[in-house]
Amino acid sequence: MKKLIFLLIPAIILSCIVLLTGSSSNLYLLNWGEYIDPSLITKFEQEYNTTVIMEEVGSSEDMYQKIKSNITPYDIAIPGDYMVERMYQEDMINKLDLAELSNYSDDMFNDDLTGLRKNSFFEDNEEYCIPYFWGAYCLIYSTRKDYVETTVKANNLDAILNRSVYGEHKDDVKLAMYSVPRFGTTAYLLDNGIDINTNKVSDFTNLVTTMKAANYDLWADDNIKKQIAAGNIDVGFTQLGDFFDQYYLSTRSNEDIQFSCYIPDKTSAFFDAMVIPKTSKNTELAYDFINFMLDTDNSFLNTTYVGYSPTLKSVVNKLKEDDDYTDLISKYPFYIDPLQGKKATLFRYIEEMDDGTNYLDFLQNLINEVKA
Amino acid sequence: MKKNKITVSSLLQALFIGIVIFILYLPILIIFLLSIDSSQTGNTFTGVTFEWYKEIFTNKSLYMSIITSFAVALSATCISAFFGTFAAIGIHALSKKAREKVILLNNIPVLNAEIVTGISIMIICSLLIPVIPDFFGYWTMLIAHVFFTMPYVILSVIPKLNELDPNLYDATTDLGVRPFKALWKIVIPSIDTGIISGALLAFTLSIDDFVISYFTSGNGVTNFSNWIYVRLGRKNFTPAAYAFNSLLTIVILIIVLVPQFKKNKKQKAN
Amino acid sequence: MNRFKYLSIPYIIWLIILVVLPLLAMLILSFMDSDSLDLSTAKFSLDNWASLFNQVYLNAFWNSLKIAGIATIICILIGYPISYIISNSHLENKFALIMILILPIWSNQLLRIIAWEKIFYPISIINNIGLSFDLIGTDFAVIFATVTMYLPFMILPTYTVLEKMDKSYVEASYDLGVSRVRTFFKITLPMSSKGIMSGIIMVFLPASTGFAITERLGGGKIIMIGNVIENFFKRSFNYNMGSMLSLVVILIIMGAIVLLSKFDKEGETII
Repeated sequence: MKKLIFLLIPAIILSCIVLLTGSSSNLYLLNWGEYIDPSLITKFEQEYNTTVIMEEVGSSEDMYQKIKSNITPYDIAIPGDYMVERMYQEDMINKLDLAELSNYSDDMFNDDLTGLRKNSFFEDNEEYCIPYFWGAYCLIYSTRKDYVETTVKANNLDAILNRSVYGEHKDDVKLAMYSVPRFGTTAYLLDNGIDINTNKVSDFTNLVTTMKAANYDLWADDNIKKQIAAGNIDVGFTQLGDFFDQYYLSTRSNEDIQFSCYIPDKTSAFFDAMVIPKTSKNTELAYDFINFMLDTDNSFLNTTYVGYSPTLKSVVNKLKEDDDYTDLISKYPFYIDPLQGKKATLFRYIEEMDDGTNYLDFLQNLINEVKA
Repeated sequence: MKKNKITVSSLLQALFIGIVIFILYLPILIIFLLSIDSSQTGNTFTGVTFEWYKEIFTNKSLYMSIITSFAVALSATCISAFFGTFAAIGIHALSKKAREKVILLNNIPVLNAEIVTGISIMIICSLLIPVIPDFFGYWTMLIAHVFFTMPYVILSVIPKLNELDPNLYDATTDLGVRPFKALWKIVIPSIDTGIISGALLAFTLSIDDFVISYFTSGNGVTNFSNWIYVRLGRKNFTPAAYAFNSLLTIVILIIVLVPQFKKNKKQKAN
Repeated sequence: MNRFKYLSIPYIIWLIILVVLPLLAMLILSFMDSDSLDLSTAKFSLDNWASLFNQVYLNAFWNSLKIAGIATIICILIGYPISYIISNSHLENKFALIMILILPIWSNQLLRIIAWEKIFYPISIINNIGLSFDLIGTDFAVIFATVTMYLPFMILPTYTVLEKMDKSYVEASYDLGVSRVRTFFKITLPMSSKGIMSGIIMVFLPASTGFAITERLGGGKIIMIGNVIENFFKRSFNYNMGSMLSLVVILIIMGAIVLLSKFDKEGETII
């Protein structure tokens, strides 16, 4: 028992270190893992003489749960589009006074994105969220096997839903699907011309049989892009940002880029946005942060670190003029122009199916049945 | 001392143990290789580097999460060991029926799925938010860790109490020693091994936990396992995590093996 | 020492708040249809329990039982002999050897899971030494990794029990001319059964209710009950179904413990 005293001393010292970090003026930021350039955080802290306390999560759902539980007074959160809508409906976020943002102007965002927000997102969303990054859903594929690229480009979403398009290779090719039910079912809906925001049970009738036949080798979230880069998976359905994220990573690791990306003719778009949750105590600092992220130079730094497509036109122009990125943009034009003229819709928040079952449970059950 | 006979059977036994050790250490070896690999993705081995070891000290979110892990684990271990021992003494003194009921309750955190324990604590703690606003973070994580480790301490100590000679305590008090002093000076030292093994188990479970810590973290406080879990997908997390883990393994190996070698040297000298 | 029973009161209160209350809360939630923890809009419903026998959940239960069960049995078949060998050996550094076997548990479990991923995916760092396995998504990979993660938890209690076992019984048996094999089964094994019980609990429970190993090494394809519960609590926020399934898991486990304690007459000890 007395030996425990030896443990008590380091315990107390370390505990003090943990408890004493944090000043009176803090910005509580709720973000995705590795979704902001750390140097920007330091820059913000120095410019505004504050400490940024950032919590990271792996999904919009985690963000929702953390804000809802009212545990931490988050000042800024960066949820995905449909989650912004859910938070808006459940009165969890503050209306933004856009006049407070000196860097803000109505037409500063990518036209495609602005169009989507005006036409297929909830009304007044411009006053509740500020876009952070965006993109489209796409097929990332490995270039190690030559037949893969041609098949993907020729067959669009069938390349991920129907093995027979690979002809003689239909059993060798390794396919991966997003394991988040919402996105895992999207490919099927898109391919069959069904509205991705449908809540009709009847629209999903053939989903289980089709996807079961596809016999996916991997169901994962962000692991898909890693395994495609490694060569363990050949084709995966995932977000555009994952491609560039992995591209940057592989480049920095001096690995050959043996994977590429294709945006199918029918796709959906997404964006993540900054919101100020009602839990915010330091709202003025929150506005400062949003304003800070709307500054072209800061956003440019962030874009080149994270790899997702920039939402600001000024950043797009800066990338075009930057010699370091000319090659990248000419090879992958969808980096700055994700939709490439294709039509797309955003994900909306859906609560229930038309038969009353919870939307997410319904989708999760479908996916579970596919996996069984 | 019986002489060691080298037989076929003892060679096979040694081989068996050797293979098992090899398989158990395989992931640790891979982690070490990944920690010196200059590639961040860990897909291929592109060269040897020690930059990840340096990064442990420069990456603030990483080292803060490590410090938090140790702060919580050490504190929770001390608290669980101390209070758990007294609780065990109390439980041991109960009547058989009462004791069985309490042990049943005590075992539930042990038997429960971690995610259920995590959610349970989160529910209870969030009820206290209106009362103590900045409660979450370090304190809730600590309470959670104490909660799920104390049962193990109790389960380690109670068998030792059962083995204790009941007359020992009575004899001590008969000699005029006051009850708590008797407890502290006589009873507790004799159940020492139970307390130590309970504490060891508590520390082990606490330092590695990510599920329960996830639900009870907040206010920017996060532990090492959570730090990894959140990054497990998004981008590759920096190999500095592998570096830290390898360092830790080496340090523990040294702590465990050096006393043994010293003991061997002493015995050989005698 | 009976005067000390009052020392247990704080702990009992602690347990009531942190164990009994949440259990009650989960029981209530399982009979309702609510929006996560918001009880104002909740309505009573038996739907959750009614869906218990849905094929998906039964599959998940079966997967958990199968994988955790096989892993536990393998752990016993490997772990107990190791403890026995080391305990009976006359090595000077028995304790150090056991510590070496236990050490891996202080290495972060998530990192070890990633390491197994690297080993089981065909293209990875181990190709540099000419090895390649394509085992992600197979039961084998999940079971193998589970065994390596939890084997030390089987070795520790069995070794402890074997070490402090009174060897004079064994010696007496030999002196009476009983064969080694028979002595083992009639004396050693029963006397060390408590250690095996501890080991089973320390291995089977986390293995059957965890979700990380199957998520990463099962390629997302193998669903265990831990994955299902995780989805309910963290993705769809259906605390009602999550609570219901959690209660079922607890009931099954408590039931099994009660059954097994009929074998172990001495009582409540687990470690």
